[in-house]
Amino acid sequence: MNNKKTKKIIQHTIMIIFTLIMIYPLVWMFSSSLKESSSVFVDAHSLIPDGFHFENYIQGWKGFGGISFSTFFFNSAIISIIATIGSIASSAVIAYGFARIKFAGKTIWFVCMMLTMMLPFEMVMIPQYIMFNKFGWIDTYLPLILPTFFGIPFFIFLIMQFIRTIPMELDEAAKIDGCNNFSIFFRIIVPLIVPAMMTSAIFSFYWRWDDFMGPLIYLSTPEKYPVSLALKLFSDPNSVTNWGAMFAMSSLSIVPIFIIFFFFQRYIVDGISTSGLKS
Amino acid sequence: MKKYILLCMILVLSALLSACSDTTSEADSADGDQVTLRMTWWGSQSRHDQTQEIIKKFEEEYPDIKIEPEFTGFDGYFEKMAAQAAGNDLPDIMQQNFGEYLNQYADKGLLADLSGFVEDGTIDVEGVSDTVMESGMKDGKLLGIPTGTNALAAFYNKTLLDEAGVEVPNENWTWEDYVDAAKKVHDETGKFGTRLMEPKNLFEYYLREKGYKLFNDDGTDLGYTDDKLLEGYFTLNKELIDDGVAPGYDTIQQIKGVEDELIVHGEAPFDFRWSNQATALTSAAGEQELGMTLLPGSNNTQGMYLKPAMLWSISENSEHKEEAAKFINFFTNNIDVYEIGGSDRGVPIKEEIRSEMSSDLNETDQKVFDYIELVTENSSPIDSNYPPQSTEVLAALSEVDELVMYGELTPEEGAKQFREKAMSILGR
Amino acid sequence: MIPKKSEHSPAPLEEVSTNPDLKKKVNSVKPRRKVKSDNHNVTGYLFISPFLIGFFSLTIFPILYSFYLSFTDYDLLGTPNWIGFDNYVRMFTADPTFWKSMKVTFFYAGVAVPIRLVFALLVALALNKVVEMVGLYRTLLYLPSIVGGSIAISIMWRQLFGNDGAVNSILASIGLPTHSWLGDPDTAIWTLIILYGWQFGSSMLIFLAGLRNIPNTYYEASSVDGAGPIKQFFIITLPLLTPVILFNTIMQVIQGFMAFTPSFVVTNGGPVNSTLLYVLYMYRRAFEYFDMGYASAMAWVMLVIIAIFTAIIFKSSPHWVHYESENK
Repeated sequence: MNNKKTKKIIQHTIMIIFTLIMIYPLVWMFSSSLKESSSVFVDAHSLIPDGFHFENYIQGWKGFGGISFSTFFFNSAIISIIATIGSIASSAVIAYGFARIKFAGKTIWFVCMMLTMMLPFEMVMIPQYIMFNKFGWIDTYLPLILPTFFGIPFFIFLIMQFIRTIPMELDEAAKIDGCNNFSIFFRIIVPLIVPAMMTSAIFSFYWRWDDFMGPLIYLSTPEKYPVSLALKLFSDPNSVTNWGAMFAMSSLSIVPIFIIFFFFQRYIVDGISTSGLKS
Repeated sequence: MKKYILLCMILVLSALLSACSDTTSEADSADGDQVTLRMTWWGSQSRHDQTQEIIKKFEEEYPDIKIEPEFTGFDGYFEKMAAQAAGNDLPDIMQQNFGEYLNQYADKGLLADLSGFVEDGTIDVEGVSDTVMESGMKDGKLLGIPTGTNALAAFYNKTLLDEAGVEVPNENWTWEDYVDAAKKVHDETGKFGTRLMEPKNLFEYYLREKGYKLFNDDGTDLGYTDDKLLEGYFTLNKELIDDGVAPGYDTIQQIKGVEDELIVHGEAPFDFRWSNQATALTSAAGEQELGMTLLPGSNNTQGMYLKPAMLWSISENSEHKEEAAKFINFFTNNIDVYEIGGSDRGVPIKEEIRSEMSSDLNETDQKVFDYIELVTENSSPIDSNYPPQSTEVLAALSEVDELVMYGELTPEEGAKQFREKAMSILGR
Repeated sequence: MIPKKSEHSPAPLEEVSTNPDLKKKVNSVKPRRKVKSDNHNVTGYLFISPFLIGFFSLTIFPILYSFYLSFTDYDLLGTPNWIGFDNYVRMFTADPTFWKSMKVTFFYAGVAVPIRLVFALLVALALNKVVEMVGLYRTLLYLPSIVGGSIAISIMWRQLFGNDGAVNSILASIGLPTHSWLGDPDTAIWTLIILYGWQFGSSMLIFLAGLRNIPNTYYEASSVDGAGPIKQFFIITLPLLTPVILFNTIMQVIQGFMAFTPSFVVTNGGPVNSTLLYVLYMYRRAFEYFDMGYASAMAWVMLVIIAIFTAIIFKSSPHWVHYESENK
């Protein structure tokens, strides 16, 4: 008993030290958000701020030209939530098609899908802009949201790999019970890939939340900007940057991702066991 | 069941989205005789706030013109503009950067020639010095009106100089004076005697001071033929590093921003950079007193120049060039603009505005204004013959400079290598 | 909570794979399936139709256009002119910086990707064992990955590895020599590699999800057979995790080669181009040097390189990746 307890204490001590090292830079950022803007670099090495300058948060939240960060957060939330729903729903369906059904040309399409991940966005954004401009989609959220409804290769591949760990016998048994592919997918596969879908949801939310280039190129009206873009509005290398406010808003911008993660991660934990195979 | 709810949500949301995009397009057409202009700029929080206020003032005065601002940070500004250019969708009014950016956009015919508006008085530039106006000219066309002026400045930390017992430099100092002062500060205080000069702007100044240009007139070759010039520039800096007077790139690489410069921390007394960074430097320096003077060199009047902080340009495909010109005129001539924005976009180009403002300037701005005044009297016109490849040439110069400062190349080899690189870039 | 898991959930799994009656049934269905094989084509295309629609309506045009641009002198603002293979020729014969950035990127990807993968796997395994407060640990360890590539991180990182930064303070306090990490061309790349390793959260999460997907019954069954934890790891955990390992490896190879933000925001390629990653160089060529045609050609060269690596990994996968679904 005693032995077990010491082992546990050691285990937790190691985890705690490790965790602290990992999050040190974040603590640093948070502490900088409380420092006076001009002294951010003067006492950069210290984790404890010289005072609590909450006015950084007030100043930062005010935003730019009357558009406050509540607008930016709201925009980010809209974009991220819809895009996440879109990418997860469509990616799961597509992944099932690639992972479970044999059809002519499957390899070719799979290769095409993989190849689309190998070109940096910066290289296709000019032609993409020309295209979306022709569609009249500039300064709307459509270029940011609509493509996610056609599946995101990263998630398709991820969910595929999870589907492929599920024994084929399950599908076959279900077929005998008279299920077609669609009901197999919805009633057997989906419950089993909840962990993969939740993982994808966490990533998708974060990527959309953090995406800077897309909104930069496609949105023009500042009222439509998301947080990621708004954060960049603080800094200009040639003039005065309000570092305190920037760190304050950077710290706040992490909060929603943190919350999403905290609530969604339980589905990864529980995963296969509680989502059940009964249905 | 859940899935149906989800599906419904998606449908409703996408309907909402398309509704959103509809309303904006309706708004555009419904206005009738009101003209809507799109306007972009880059900047930081204060500039965004101030510019919005300026726009409001303008709209009060011109109720039939509405300005839709599209502002971003500096990061990504030109990427976005490139995409808009590719989509033939440039905004009506653009904040442009002097140098290769302006030249590139001008070469491709994307910027409107503003000389007509200046001639017919839509844009009043009465009393603006010719050298300032010329900086917006390219191939006989006026492609931008400077928002304000800027100049290279030798910033010095008076507190540190006093501590070392070194006299504050004045505008007549030479390169020898500079080196001596730096060495003395280093000897007396053990701190750095100066910040390392980065070649991006300073080599050009060095050349101008010696009577040369960085590029030849048509931008097809370097503007100097004797590699001894670059060798001399390298040697000047390398010797300071070797003596421990100037920091090497290993120190420079760690500086996190203007507010983290050595001069701010009292770690080095001199720093050569743009005058509009005075506010950032001064506020970060706290109690220490900073000053500014002309860059060193016996011919510094020939080397110094006024540079547009940025320029206002109008896109060639704009349907409302005249209204856009009215805004530029408003920005250039209205004292309200500068009461709101101060010298954020550089020191005003108009003499009247400058004198009108001078009564209620803060201490730092006053120094900058005085400095620009000093430069105006002691400078020659800026070289605007930047070829499209100039950024790449300057990147090559930085790379060679780093190699020399790290001791991988001798100054002589470096000078030779830079010429080879520059020639192969310019020769394409 | 825990006993519940083993109680009911994976039981049907067991049933399916062991019930001989079912197997027979499955076998008897087989011939019928063959007859309806064209039906599979329809179903298959139906399932992947969202991808196909998106691919043909939104994705393919920009991709083909960038391929076309790679054969032009497109300068971002003017009209592209066809110049054949000039960009490619110039890249391979007359651009030392191209080779430099290639070298940097291969080194970076070659070191950083394995570090991140191993690190992520080890932490995931550790977290899979810890029961109390696992949610908290997991969240905190994932945090570094959500600060992304912001300006904040660039300043943070330069602070950490600066002369008077935290790393040097720790070294000094334990009597080791300090070093100018960012200023030394030999070590600057390592700060970026560490940054890449530090943001291991996403790979870790995927590993965790994979670990959680392994039915407990497998472990219980092998415990009955007398297998210890180490043996269990090698006969159950590792094989069943291989599909996820394959996924993470491929994605990390792609991301490693395409890494851009770290060197863009932290070091900006310096000192002496020692951290000039390929995509950063490409980005500069496109947007700073107005050389979009050349940059497009660079993108396609990189695509071929990544594709070759991915293909090799895929080709090797039948030898080491274990799919439950393709068991027999």
